[in-house]
Amino acid sequence: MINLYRAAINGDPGTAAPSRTLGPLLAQHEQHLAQLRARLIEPAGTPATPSQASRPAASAGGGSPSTGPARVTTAQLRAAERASAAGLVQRLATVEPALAQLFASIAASDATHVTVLADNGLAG
Amino acid sequence: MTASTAVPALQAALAAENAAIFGYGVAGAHLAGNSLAAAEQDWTTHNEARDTLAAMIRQLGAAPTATQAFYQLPFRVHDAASATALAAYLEDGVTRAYLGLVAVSDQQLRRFGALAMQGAAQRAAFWRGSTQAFPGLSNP
Repeated sequence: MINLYRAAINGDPGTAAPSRTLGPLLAQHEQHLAQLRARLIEPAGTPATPSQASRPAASAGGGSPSTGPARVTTAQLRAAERASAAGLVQRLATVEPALAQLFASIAASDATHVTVLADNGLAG
Repeated sequence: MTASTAVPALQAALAAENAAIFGYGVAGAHLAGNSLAAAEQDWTTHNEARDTLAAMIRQLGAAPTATQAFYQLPFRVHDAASATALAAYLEDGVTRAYLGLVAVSDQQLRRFGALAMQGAAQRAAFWRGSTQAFPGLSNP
């Protein structure tokens, strides 16, 4: 998710959503990741990659090093936010109560991002 | 559903919904136009949520906590700005209350609470004009 937002912010300013809208949302995702990393214990040897909860949805797109960064649309950001929220809610059953509350709170934050991305009438 | 933990969490959510219903009545008196329409829509949403929670509590063999005649507001509401701030405050309270449901052992209730949090957080963001990183959590 963080990489997706960074790509959108750094993308073509004529087609990507304005940074003034995306910047605060990116900052909140960075806060999410920090909290998740603080709470989750990763197996030894696991590379320092964003948690599953913070990854963009498979359909969200993104560029490869060989082709350069792809344009990230607002529709892709909305889809990724929805997928993140749904994924977190799906996992509530498998974690202890305090972590479930963190997942639910992050999912609620993601849900508000969906609304912001829609309400601002950003190009999608 | 384990009634011993579920009922207090449901009662807390019901209390927050009742407070929101009262508060939106106050806020609505100071709003107009689109803001008033949004407040009326949110008031209806909270009434429906109250009925849902009351039914869930009854299903567990308990009596829903009665609505209070008056709720202490956090600040004086005298114009559209303070009414808008009150609406955000109310939704924050509802979000926190549903967060309690996410901690119970019943998995369906956890999901119910999490989805209710999303609605309340979206309404809070609307009234506040900004989003939060951790809705419902004061100290993540």
